Amino acid sequence: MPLPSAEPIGLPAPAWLLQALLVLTFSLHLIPMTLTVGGTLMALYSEVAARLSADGSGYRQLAQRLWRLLPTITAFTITLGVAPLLFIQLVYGKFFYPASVLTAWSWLGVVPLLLVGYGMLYAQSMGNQAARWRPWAGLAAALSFLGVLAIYVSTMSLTTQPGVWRDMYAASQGGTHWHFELPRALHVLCGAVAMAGGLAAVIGHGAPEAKFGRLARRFGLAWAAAGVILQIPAGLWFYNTLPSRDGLLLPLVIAAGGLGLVGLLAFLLAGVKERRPSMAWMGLFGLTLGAVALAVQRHLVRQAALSPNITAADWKLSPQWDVFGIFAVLLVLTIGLIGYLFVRFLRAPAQAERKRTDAHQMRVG
Amino acid sequence: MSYPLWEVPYLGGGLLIAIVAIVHVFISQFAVGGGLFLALATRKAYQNRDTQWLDYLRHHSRFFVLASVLFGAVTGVGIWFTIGLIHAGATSSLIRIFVWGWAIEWCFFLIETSAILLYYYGWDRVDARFHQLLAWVYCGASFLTLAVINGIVSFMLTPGAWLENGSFWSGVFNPGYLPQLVMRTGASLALAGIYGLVTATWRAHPNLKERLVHWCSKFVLTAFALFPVGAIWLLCVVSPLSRELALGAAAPVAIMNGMTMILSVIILGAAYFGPFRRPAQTSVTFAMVMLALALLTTGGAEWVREGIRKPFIIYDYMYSNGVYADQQKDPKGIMATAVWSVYGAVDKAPTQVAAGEDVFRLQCAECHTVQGYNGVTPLVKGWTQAFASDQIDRLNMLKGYMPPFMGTPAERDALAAYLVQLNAKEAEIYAAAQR
Repeated sequence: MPLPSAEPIGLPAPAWLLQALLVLTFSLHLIPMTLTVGGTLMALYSEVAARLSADGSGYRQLAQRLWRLLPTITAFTITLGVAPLLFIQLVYGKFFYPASVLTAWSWLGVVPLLLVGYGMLYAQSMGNQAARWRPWAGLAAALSFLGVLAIYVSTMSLTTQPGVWRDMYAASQGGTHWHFELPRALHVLCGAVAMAGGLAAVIGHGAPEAKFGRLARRFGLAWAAAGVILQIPAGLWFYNTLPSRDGLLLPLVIAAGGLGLVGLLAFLLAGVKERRPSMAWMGLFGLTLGAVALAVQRHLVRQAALSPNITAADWKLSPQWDVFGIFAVLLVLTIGLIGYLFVRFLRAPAQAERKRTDAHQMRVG
Repeated sequence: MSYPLWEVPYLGGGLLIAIVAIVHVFISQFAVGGGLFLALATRKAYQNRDTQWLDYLRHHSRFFVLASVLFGAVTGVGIWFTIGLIHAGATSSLIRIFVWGWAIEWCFFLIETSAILLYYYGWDRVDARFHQLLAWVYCGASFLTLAVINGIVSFMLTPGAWLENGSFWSGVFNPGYLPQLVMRTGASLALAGIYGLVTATWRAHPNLKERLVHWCSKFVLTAFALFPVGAIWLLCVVSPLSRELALGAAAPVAIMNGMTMILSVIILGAAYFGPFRRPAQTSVTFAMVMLALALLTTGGAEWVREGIRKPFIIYDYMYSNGVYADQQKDPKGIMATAVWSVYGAVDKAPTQVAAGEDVFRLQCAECHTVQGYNGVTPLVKGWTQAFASDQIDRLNMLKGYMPPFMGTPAERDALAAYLVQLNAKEAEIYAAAQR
């Protein structure tokens, strides 16, 4: 097995801490990532349905709301994706680099695909609402993001299978290999569809227009249900392909499935009681927790598969606690600052409205 | 030599990195300088209650979001992907040394992304005070991303005391840190002014254009006070070999260095005699030409920085081909010790040339293609096997910007056989013509 030798420079923190940061930041990335993939598919569907149905105003409105939201969600998908990419290279570099080199062309293909997909989202968000190219731009965005998903599945699944690397490299050194696993891709896709359903339901509950709100809620519920229900066969198929199914894995899979179903139930309740947006948020929260449970499960699978090939030398320690301390404090400040900016931003129209009302009352007085 | 090599035909890994890096640097430095541009312009517009300025800024911020959040962020990811594919060993070392530096930069990246998106979507929504705050938050966070990443980039050229003490702080605040920060800040301001010229001549109201163009030109002129100071300072702190390479020892590097300086002077002159002195006559075509010249200058400067680092990827620590500077020759040879050797030994390969190809992949292909950018075929034209073996043996002594050969005599001869046969067809034609 062609495993790279241990790096002479030690890890800057214990492996458990770096693994925890990897799982934490990956979970943070997973939320906007699934919303980007699922949301783009949903916006495309709505865009096409708006053009094909007799009264497509509801679908048109949903598509517009989604296209407006998606560039921001994608921006956070990319920004939050940087940290897990950093930590996986640090903790599992000896597995990650060979797998990415073997699949180099496709792995590098993520960059142009992201540019196209993300660029098309901005085109949708900023462009003319009636333009005829809109469905095509939406299709390009959806295909790009599905392409990125497939590439990640290919490279990341190869990361955990060093046994096949030597034959692959002997066959070609040109980085043209492909290691796609359909069950894993379907597993992610079903999660993305369910999360997009949750997003639509939340949009529906926040909408002031009753007709549009009802459509978005029902449509969201249908997508969330489809995502969660299809996840059962897809997840089981994926589960059966895993090389190791020991320990916490089964409880985590059950927990993820349970949280998904709880989320779905919350959407159902939110749908029945139309004036209960908090249930829709709970539903989305349930789905998110399910996704986080799956992220932990994914880490355990990787760790179980790779641990026989990890030596003490790979994880020897050269700690940098002072710099880590600065990062930890800065991360808290960053979350606080971003939270402050977003809260102030979201309150801005209400404040502007209150000022206008006060001014009007003063004039009347 | 722990990691597999990705053979990139014709382009080679080095040129691939250069293409992605130059595009990213060109956009991201604009995103840094553009932060100050945006904050000052927003303050000026709101303080003067100038609706034409505000209208211009609304258009400019759309362009700015596309450039920074879309192209800047995605090409930044592209850099990560590319360096990991081409120089996995060096990337792994850098991550182990600087992961918390990158994590700190990631915090600033999160802040700048949030701030610029809220700024852009805040038109008609937030009050003037908050809008200005968002611009200043973006400005501060984006500059801090530069301040952090500059520590890592400059470390690769001048690692300084880190080589002895292995300290994170010695690595970040290396001898080249401040000179490169001054240079990059200058470049960022220049790019902000030049991008500003493009949007000002393209979208600004005719009544505003003249004032705006003049204002943008000040960014370009200020930048050129910083740029030469940083460049001369950097030349003073790099190694003697790097300095020699920049000033003439390696013709391509020296030519590129000269071209970059000439282009910089042209941009400075054009900015002074055009937008600064005659703002009314500045057209969008003129601004676009300035932008193209700025791209060439950025590319040239980055290329020179890479060129003077030869033969290292991390100076005095790791050679460009992944061999550590203090690594001793292993008597078993590189094919036996390299994890990704296809044959594992010269005598296990089907032919000597096949073994030589394997050695080429392990020792040379990280920088050289066979036929293409920095292609080895024309470099060894006319070489005989004996001459090639002799050259390979003393590579680092004959050419200061080449790493030493780490193989056994058998591996050296195999590599020589492989190199000589690259021009075999031409040699046969030449021999036939002689007959």
